[in-house]
Amino acid sequence: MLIVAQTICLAELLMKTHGHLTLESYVQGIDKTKALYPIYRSEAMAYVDFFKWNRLVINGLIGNTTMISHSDSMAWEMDHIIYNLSPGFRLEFKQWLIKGTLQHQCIHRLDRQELFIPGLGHGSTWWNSYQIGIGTRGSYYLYLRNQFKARNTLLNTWDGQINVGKYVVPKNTLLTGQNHTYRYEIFSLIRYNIGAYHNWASFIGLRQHSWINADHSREHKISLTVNLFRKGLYNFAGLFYSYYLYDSFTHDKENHLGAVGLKIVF
Amino acid sequence: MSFQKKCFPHNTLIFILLLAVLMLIENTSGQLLMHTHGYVAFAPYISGKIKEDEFWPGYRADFLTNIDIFKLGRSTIYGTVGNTTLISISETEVFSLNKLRYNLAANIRYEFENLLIKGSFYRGSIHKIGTIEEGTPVWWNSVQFGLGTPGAYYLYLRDEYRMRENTLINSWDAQINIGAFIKPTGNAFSGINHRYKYELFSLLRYQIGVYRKWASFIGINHNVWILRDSSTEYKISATVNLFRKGAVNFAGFYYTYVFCDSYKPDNENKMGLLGFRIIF
Repeated sequence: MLIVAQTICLAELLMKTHGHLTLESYVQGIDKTKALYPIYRSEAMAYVDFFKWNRLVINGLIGNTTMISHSDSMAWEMDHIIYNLSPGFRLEFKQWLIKGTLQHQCIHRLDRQELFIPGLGHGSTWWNSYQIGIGTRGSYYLYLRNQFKARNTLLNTWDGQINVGKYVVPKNTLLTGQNHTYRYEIFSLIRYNIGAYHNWASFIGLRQHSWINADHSREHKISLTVNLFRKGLYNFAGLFYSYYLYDSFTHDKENHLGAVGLKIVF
Repeated sequence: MSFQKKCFPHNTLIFILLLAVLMLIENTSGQLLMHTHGYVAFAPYISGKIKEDEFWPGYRADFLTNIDIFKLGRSTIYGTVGNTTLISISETEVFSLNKLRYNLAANIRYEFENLLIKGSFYRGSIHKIGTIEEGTPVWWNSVQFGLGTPGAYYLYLRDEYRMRENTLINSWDAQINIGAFIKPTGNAFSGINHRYKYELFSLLRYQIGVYRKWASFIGINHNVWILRDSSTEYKISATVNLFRKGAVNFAGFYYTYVFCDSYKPDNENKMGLLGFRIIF
C-alpha cells in the first residue's frame, strides 16, 4: 500500500484518452433463416491513462460493443451489448510494450429477455480475467499512427502482440462471474504494415482468440482485416473489411461473416 | 429476393460513398481533423431514492464522444456518439443494469472568438436491458439549433483553466438550444413510443476559480419538452464541480441535485448524485 501511495505521489496525472470508435455492417455470410440476424455492429473503446511514472502508465479501459439485428418486422433491433471495464497498466520500452489488465466484461440483452444457457442459468453473463501481454509498439492503436509518419513509402514491416488470460472462477458474484465456463484465454495479433501514399495508410491484421473451458473444450475466433486509413490532423480514420475465417465463440459468434466498416482511432 | 441480393449493394454503396467522401476531402481546402473529445462519468445516487418499487436507481454511467471530422474556415463538422447506463439496486441485487440510452448526432458548429453556433441532427433512444416492457424501446430524432459562449462547452472549458493558477475567475458562460422533434411514425428515421414536439434546453455556468491544480465551477441545466397535446415536461438541475487539471486533460468530482423533473423517459426528480468525471 505504501509503495502504491508513494508511486501516486511521484507520478504525473495525465488523464489522456485514446481509443477507437467503429461502425461496421455485415455484408456477407448472413443466415437469414434465423428470426434475428446480425446486420450492424458498433464499438466504442476509450483508454484513460491516469498516471505515468517513468515507463509505467496506469490506465483504465471503458467501452462497449452493440450488436444490432434485423428481423422481418423491424429494420433495426438492438440485440445485445457487451460492456468492458478494465483497469490495467502498461510498461513502455523503446520497441516493446508490456500490458497487464484485469478485464471485466459483461453481456446484456436489450429489449428482450436474457438468454438461457443450458447447464448455467438465466440472466446476463459476465466474467473477470487477469490478462498479461507483450507486443511491439506498432501493434497497439496508440502507437500505430507513428508507423505511418512517412509519406509515399512502402513500409513492408511487421508488428505483433500476444496475450494470455486467466478467468476468475464464476460464483455468481459481481467480482467473480456468472453464466460462463471459461478458465483460460490466449489472444494475439499479427499486423503487416503495407505502406503510406500521400495521407493514406494501409495495413492488414490477423487476429486470433482462443478460450479454454472448464471441461478442457476450446473455442476459437480467427479474423482477417484489411485497412485503408486516412491520416487526419490529429488522428486516424478509415475504412476496413473484416472476414471471420472461423468463429466458435458461444457468446458473440461471427463465423464466416464479412463486414465493411468505418473506424476512427483517436 | 435473398437477403444478400437485397443488402449487399446497399452496404457496398455506403462503403463506396464513405471512400468517396474521404477522397473528396483530399481535394478541398479544408482539413480532416479526427479530433476526439468528450467525457466519461460514473455517479451513484446518494439522495432522493424512493425504495418503494422493486428496483430503485443506484448508479448512472455516461460515455460521450464528439469527433471533429472536418474543418473548413470557422465551420467544423462533427459527430457525437454516446450512451448512458442506468443501474438499479433491489433488495436482492446490488448491481442490476436497468436502462440504456444511446445518443447519436451529426453536427456542425461555427466558431467566433467569443461565441459558438451549433446545429445538430440528434437521435436518442432508450432501451430496457434484459426485459420486454410495454412502451419500450423509445427513440426520437430531433433537429437542434443553439448558441453559446465557448466556455459553456466542455471542449473549451479546459481553456478557461489551462494556463491559470491561484486565481478567482468569477466569470459566466451560457448556452441555449432549441429543437423540433420529427413526428414519430415507427421507422428508424422518425421515432417510436414518444409524444414530444419541441424542446428547449440551456446551461448557465459560473466559473469560480483555480487553486493550484484544482478548478471549480457551478452549472445550472434547464430542459423543457413540449408534447403534441401542448402539455410540458421540465427538468432543472444544479451541478457543483471540483476538477483536477492533468497533464493532458481534466478529471474530477461533481455533485448534481435535480430540483424538479417531470421528464418521463429518464426521471430523476429530487435526486442527488455524487460522481467522478473525466473530460478528454
